[in-house]
Order: sequence, then C-alpha cells, then structure tokens
Amino acid sequence: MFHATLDSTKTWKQIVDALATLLTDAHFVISKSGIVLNQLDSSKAAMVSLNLPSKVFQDYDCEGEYDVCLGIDELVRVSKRMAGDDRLEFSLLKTDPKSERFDRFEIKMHGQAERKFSLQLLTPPDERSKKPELNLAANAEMFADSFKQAVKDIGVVSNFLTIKATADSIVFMGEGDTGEAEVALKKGDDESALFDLKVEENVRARYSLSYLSDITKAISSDSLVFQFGENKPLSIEFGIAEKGRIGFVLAPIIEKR
Amino acid sequence: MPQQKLESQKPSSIDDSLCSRCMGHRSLCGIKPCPLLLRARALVDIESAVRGQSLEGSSPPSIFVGNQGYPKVLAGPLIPPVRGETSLMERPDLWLDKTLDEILSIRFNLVRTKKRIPVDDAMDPSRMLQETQTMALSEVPLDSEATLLKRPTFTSVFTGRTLPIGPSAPLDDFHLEANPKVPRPVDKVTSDIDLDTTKGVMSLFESGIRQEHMTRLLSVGLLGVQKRRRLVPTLWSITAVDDIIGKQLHREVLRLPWLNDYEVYVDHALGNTVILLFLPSAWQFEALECWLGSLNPPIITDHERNKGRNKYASSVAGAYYATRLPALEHLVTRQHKQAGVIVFMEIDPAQWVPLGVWRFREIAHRALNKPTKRFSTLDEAILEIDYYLRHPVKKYLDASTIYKEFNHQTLLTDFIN
Repeated sequence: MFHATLDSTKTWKQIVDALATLLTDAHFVISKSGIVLNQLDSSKAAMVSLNLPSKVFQDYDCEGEYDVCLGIDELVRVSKRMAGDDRLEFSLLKTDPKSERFDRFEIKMHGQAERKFSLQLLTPPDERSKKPELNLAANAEMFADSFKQAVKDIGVVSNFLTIKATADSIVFMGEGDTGEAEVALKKGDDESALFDLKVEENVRARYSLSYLSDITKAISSDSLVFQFGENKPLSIEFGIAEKGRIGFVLAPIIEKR
Repeated sequence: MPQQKLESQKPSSIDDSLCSRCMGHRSLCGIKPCPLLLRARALVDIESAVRGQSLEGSSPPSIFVGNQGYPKVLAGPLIPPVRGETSLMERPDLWLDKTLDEILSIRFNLVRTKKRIPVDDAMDPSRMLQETQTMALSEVPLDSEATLLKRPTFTSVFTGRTLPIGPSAPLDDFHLEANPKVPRPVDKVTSDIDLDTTKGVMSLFESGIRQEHMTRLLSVGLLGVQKRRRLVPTLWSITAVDDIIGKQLHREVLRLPWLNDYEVYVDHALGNTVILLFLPSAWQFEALECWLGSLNPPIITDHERNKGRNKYASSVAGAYYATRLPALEHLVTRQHKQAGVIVFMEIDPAQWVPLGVWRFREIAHRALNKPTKRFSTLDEAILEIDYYLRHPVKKYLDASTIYKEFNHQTLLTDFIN
C-alpha cells in the first residue's frame, strides 16, 4: 500500500511541468524511501530524473515497491485543477478489491471541497532505466536565471549551444548564419552568477538548443548545478522542496564525421 | 529627371517561392489575374459546359463550403449536368495517371451551387441544407435537381488545398431525387449526437471510410456533439481530418519500437515528385517543398519533433498534413515501427495548375504501396533520393532541421555503459 500527503501544490506542479517537458508517460518507482523516476525521452537523446525522498512529504507511508506509470497529459490536466492552498493526498487504489494489483493512482485535493481524481495506471515498461554514471570533468553551480538567459542569448543566433570550461571560467557560445554570440562567466567575482566551479581539464561540448530551451523552462529553483565533459552529455540538476532533486541529462551534438 | 519607365517592370520577376505560398489565391505577387490561373482556365472551355438555369444530374456526391465571409459562408452541392456514374469526379485517388487536362475537365463538369448560410445552421438545418446533408451521407452518386438564380459562370478561384472547383452559380432551390446509400459506420457516427468530432472521425477512419467522405461529413456539419455542429469550410475540413487522424496515430507511433534501417519511397505524378525517407529514430517529421523554375529555388520547410506540434505548419501548410498522415498510417498499420520521416516534395511549375493538396496525399500513398527500398546507411539512402530529384538533394538537406539533428545529435544510450 502507498499513501502520502503534500502541503504544497506548487511543488507538485513544478514536478509535473519538469516531467512534461520531455515525457509522454511518466514511470515512477514508489518505495519505502520515496518516489524516484529515471526516464529517457522518446528520442533517447535526453533523460529526466526525479528523486523525492519520503521527507519531502508531510506524511509518507509505503509498504513494498510499485511501478506506477501515468500518462503525462492526464497528470497535467489534473494538476491544472489544483488550487493554490489545497493539501494533496496521493494513494494507490484497486477498482476491484479482489485483485492483487493496484490499478489507480488517486490524487485528492483538500481545500474548500474534497476533490478526488483517480488516474488509470498504464503498463510500465519492461525494465527500469537507471541514472547513467558519467564521469564529467567540469562541475559548476550558478544562478538558474543566468543559465536561462544564456540559453536565450545564444538562441538569438544559433540552434546549438557550445559550452567551454576552463579552470576559472565558463563560456557559452553559439554561431549561426547571421553571426555569433558569447556569454562569459568568471569564477571568484562577487557579482558573478557563477558560485562554484571545479574543472579537471579544459573541456568543450555542443548541445541542441531545441532541447535546452524546453529544459530550462522547467527549472523552478534559484540555483542549479551543471556538469559536462569533452563531447560528453550535459547534466543539469536543481533542488525541489528542499530535500528533493530534479535532473536532466542531454546527449551532445558531435561535429560531422 | 526622366520618368521611370513602367515597361521595365516585367511580370517575369515573380519570385517562385511566392507562388508556392500563394497557390494562386492570395495574389501575393500583385499581378491580376494570376498567371497560373489563366493557364489553368485556358485548358477548359467552361462556358459550354452548362446552359440554362435549371440543372439536373448525379452528384458524385460532392459539396463545397467556402471560407470567405465566415461565419456566413457560401455552401452548396456540386452537380454535373449529366446523370449516371459520376463518382470519378470526387475520387482523386483514381486521377494520378490522368493528364492535367483530363483532371480539370472531369472536375469542371461539376457546377458549384452556392447559397450564403450561417455556419451554425448545421445543427438546425433548413430543408435545403438538410437535403444537402443527406446527400453528403451517400457513398454513391445521387440524382438531384437544382434551380439556379443565374447561369453558371467561371468566376471562382482555385484554392490550393481543395479539389479544383469549376463554374459556379447562386442556388435557388435544391431537391434530391433518390435515396442515399449510407454505409453503416457513417450512419452510426452521424446519428450519434453525443459523440465528439475526434471520436467520430477516428471511428470512421477505423471502419475504412474514404477520406473525401469524412471531409464531406465534417464540412456539412454532420459530425460532433449536436450543439456544436457547424458548417466547416472545405478547405479547413481537409486539413482538420488529416490532423485529427494524424494526432491519434501519433500517440500510437510513439509506443512502437524503432525502425532498424533507412527506407526510401518514391513516386511521381502530374509534375510532382514525392519522396519519403524513413530514419531509424524516434518519430519526427519534416516536409521539404521545392518549386523548380528559377536558378536557385528556395526550399520551404516545416518540422515537428517527437512530441508533435501544436501550431499550424504555416509554411508548407496543407501539404504538411496531407503527407504526414500517410507516413503515420504506414508506420502504425503496416510497419508497426517508429521512425523519423523526411518528405521531399518537388513541384515543376511548368506542369502545374492548382490541383489541391490531395495530389501529395495520393502520390505519397502510392509511393508507400511500392516495394520498400532499404539501405543500411544514410548516405546510400540520400544517394538514392538524389537520383529522383531534379534539384540537388544537398540543397534540401541544407534546409532540413531534422536531417542536421539526426546526423549530429548523439543518443544518451551511447554513453550509458
């Protein structure tokens, strides 16, 4: 059985928005320790991961481990019905009491009225995806807003974003038919949006802006951590509801053969 | 100062990309009448087709709802001055092997009758509209009789998307002389006044009702929940049906495993070449359209990534939806595979009159019915495509977003393990 409550509809909506940027079905693994999701998008070029430890929830009770697969469109539509000060309650239900399997995910909204939505569970995929272990040489922490602005700046001229990291700076670059753009961030400056930077070796890599601009729209925190390596994937992570994490991983664009 | 010579502005300076956006009905080039239209009109002697003000004949059946003046539109049945087996007039799938002149003379036999009707009359139709709706239900030609207010004249303009429309005349009265033959699924869906349009169209699609028939039902306002039934301009309903079915198939295609190889399908008819390239990737779609004629013709593109699109594909317009649907149908119902699709459309304006987007749909259908050409590398597939295109394939690929991304975007699975 599974039962949890959450005081903040804002947190829930931010989570659903993040999942909806890349996925059409969401495959949660719900266990005693919390709710986890690691899923490739259908193009297999990007991944979203979600880690909500049980502490994120006000009440959390789960016996056993469940694969819960839900349609994103339905989740989004239900989440739109949530009022700002509703208290949310989640549980797994059976439509047929004799059945051994849960087949509904119920979302209750406690506010001026008590509203219940139960969503049909979809058949989960055969295997659970894992979060890839990538040894990435550059690790930076910065203002989420500055990262979003950089993505928009480069998008003015280019479809691709090149990121270059050296020991003390991060440079975002792009070029297109109409010209070039560059956004530079230096470490150690008090006014700099770059809080922290660790670079093992100078690296650069290119990523598709069509994915990145969708991904950045879903970033709801003030700061974010991003990691990347020479022609390696880019990993972006940010916190949600203090203890939780949401992450995106995006495969790079490589130069023509 | 000598005055500028007017003669120096020759109409030959029309940009070809203008024509392909305008399709002969937006007068983007400013030249009236449109040179393309003049060419098309010259092909047929229209005035001799119909004489007098009463019109008797078997409608294929065919109905046209205009979009000018929406929400009060000119609508009415299309009736030829002949009786008998006229269904060929509304069967574009049988036209690909005909010449342009044959197609136009087939269509120009139909007189478009028109009467201004508010679109929401469809839920509570007058007797005449009701008979028009009854006619739309039928799958065989129906004898009918119309009284016209004027003699038919060739004033109407081609639209880029609908079947060609011939002479037209204002309608006074209209009677059906026979009972329609209604396929069961059509009867079931149209009489269900609580079934929404999407479900209705899908149910018709699954029962194998022809697309022209669905479009006709949608445009005379026989689909959807009773209170929301409207007349839908033919132009819009064609793309609406393409899009409704396309959206549903899109949901299904995302669940299928990826294609393993590269596949190429080619066909050519009526001065149009359509080539479909299937890529081993997630569903994504791009339409590339090129109008030959100038030295360096521009390539018009629209694309969507695996989540589909919400906005109208405004550059390629109807042809985008008309080729997307056959591609999706092929993947979902025949291949049971997911793939990225790039469609190359090449149009030779020297052979072109505005026929409507059906030609892309039918050419794509026919191409997909041919044996598959399979390739293990993208380069081989591209080489094959280049063989059939007159404009270098490199120009198309330079304009293509999906090709560039496909060629450069790595997959995360390459980095895991």
